[in-house]
Amino acid sequence: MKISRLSVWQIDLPLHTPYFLSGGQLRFDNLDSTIIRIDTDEGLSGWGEACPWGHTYLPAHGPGVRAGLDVLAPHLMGLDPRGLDHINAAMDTALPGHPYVKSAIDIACWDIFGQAAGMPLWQCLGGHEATPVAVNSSISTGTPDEMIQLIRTASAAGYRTHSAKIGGTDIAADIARIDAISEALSEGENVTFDINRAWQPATAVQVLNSVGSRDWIEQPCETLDQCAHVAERVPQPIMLDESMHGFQDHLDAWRRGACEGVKVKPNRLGGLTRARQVRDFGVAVGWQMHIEDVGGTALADTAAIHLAASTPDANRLASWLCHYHLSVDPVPGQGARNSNGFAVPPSGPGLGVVPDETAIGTPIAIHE
Amino acid sequence: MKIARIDVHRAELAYAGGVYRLSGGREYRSFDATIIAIHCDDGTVGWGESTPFGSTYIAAHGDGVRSAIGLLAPAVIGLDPRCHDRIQDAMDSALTGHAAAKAAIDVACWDAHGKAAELPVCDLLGGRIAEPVPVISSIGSDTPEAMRASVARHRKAGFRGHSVKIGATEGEGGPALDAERITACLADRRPGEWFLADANGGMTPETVLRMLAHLPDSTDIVIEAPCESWRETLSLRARCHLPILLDELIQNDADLVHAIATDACDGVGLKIGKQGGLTASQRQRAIAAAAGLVMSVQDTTGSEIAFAAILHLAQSTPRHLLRCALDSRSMVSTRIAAFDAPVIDGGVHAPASAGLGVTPDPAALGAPVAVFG
Repeated sequence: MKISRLSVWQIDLPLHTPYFLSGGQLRFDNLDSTIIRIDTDEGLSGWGEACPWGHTYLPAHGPGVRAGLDVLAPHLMGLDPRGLDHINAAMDTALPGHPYVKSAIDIACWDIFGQAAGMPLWQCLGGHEATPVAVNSSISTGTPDEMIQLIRTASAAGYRTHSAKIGGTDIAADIARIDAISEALSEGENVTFDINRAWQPATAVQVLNSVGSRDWIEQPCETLDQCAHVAERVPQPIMLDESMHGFQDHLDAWRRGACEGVKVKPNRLGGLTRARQVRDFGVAVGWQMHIEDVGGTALADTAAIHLAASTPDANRLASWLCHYHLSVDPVPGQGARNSNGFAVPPSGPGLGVVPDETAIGTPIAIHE
Repeated sequence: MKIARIDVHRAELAYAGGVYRLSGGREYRSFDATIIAIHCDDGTVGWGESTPFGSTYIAAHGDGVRSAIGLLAPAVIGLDPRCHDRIQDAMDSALTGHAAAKAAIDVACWDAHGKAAELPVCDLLGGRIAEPVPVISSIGSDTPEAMRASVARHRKAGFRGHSVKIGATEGEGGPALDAERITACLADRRPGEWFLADANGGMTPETVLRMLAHLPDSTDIVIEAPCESWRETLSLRARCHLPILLDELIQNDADLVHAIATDACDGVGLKIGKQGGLTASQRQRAIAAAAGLVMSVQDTTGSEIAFAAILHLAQSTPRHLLRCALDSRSMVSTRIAAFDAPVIDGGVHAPASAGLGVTPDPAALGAPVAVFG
């Protein structure tokens, strides 16, 4: 089986409501997503998506995805899409770095691999059943009352785990947010406080030693060094996300005791192949993981949910679904979606999501 | 003084030696350069460049530079190009990462700043140090005798710094061949010469340690970028008696601080595109100097414009910490700008004219591929 064509679509994904991170310093209204289809000489086609979260969250942006695909496409033609490690090695030779570009290709190749094998991706990735995965809300930063209101709304939709975005330069405001939200949670609800690297180490040490909460604290500071410094001085478990790019970062974090868990995001790491490697390492060292993508439609969400569903319960925390925040749905009704707080991956062969080509328009590029 | 318009040009820079080969079958015949001009409201024009070494050397490529500039340019229009940290903040707010693209805009702002202040850029970066900047040779991997002859030719041309490329596979001769190469290159050493053994991250601790076992005890050479990862580098560091200079692993302030905190190296290769421009390079130069690290000043590759930025940074770097600069002009045969800085006896001076002192040739640049503002 050989790759014969790569088609590229660009779609705008408007958010229902503006989204704020890092204490309101970053605002997001619209995501720029790239959807691709890989065709093969044997008639099977696979779909992938790369959707960075704007251009200020990670070193990734929509036009950069398309520019990178132009570089990679000629190197993929004629390769067998089922040889995922070889596909990744070929991409790494053709273009070092740029995991956020490669993710779309890697996911599309997994889709083909699953279809060719007649198995859903959750099974290809090691799972024994289509385990329902708890979904995670995402609570935009605001005053304590505003945030508690958002949590109540999410609870009503079935969410039991909330990711509350906090972090700024006002220490008292962050202490107030953490204390108020911890206090307001109902029995059986969990919260992760996600700082999105907004704190300096001293801020983190001050805030986290002033609150009663022992909930997860995510990405308190910018760098791994800073986060490791904080982890030694605070009582809460630490989750790392944006500072984790390659496998080496995970190795460093583990050796230094910088965290007890990580976010595993295909678009940040370079696709399902790299995400699976991190997931397997995380299982080996006893981490707990939120497995979800950086952004995108239900297509990207579903790829991540396949990986989450194949992960042992003890190592799996809830997964966030980006498509819930969007006002468009180019894969109507398909894939893993929230149903009373859980998402179940599709059980047909492959990824199990096929975009509606009338909804995504004309390809902006076709490589053959 | 405000940035009113930004023109983006694309130029293909032919490799001077025909085909440049790197490990893994990578070949380069030309480099995709992005040249930008910032036009200010007072008529000042500043020039900058970003030229990745193809798309397969580090995580940067020409189309990626230009797509990123599409996001960065609108964010800096209307700002004062002389306020370098504020320009940096605006770029960081518009796009995370992508240092190579930011470098082109940052360097153009320094050029405009120098022209407005009627000072050469080296005088804005701390001040000219009178002695010439030594340029470094590049001794490509070959037989030990051929490499020894190449060093001799460069020595005759005045070069006092030599970068010896190592990293032989087992099939080619492995660590023993690399040790022979180093020994041959050092055989005719003269006082005042400085040698680097550059592995471009291609060796493991095991191969480097075996190579060291083959070297005479008195070997005076600095090992550059021996391994790809921090883990390998730190493991080697604890067992390597030769000084280590890091390059690809040091991309930003945090990497440099990490290297200092873990005592991972004795020197750092500052590449203006890799670090994100002159603003970041100047800051990292100060951090490195405070830690007593020596520096080589380079870029991935580039035209006269890229070399001008290298030269002004090197010209203002204390000589006891400066270990040579790369003359990127020697790597490419395409000429796109006039730059009056001849290499004489292996040394070069930054011109005294205002700004970078480069005059791009409009015919060589052609029409802009994008205009912002």
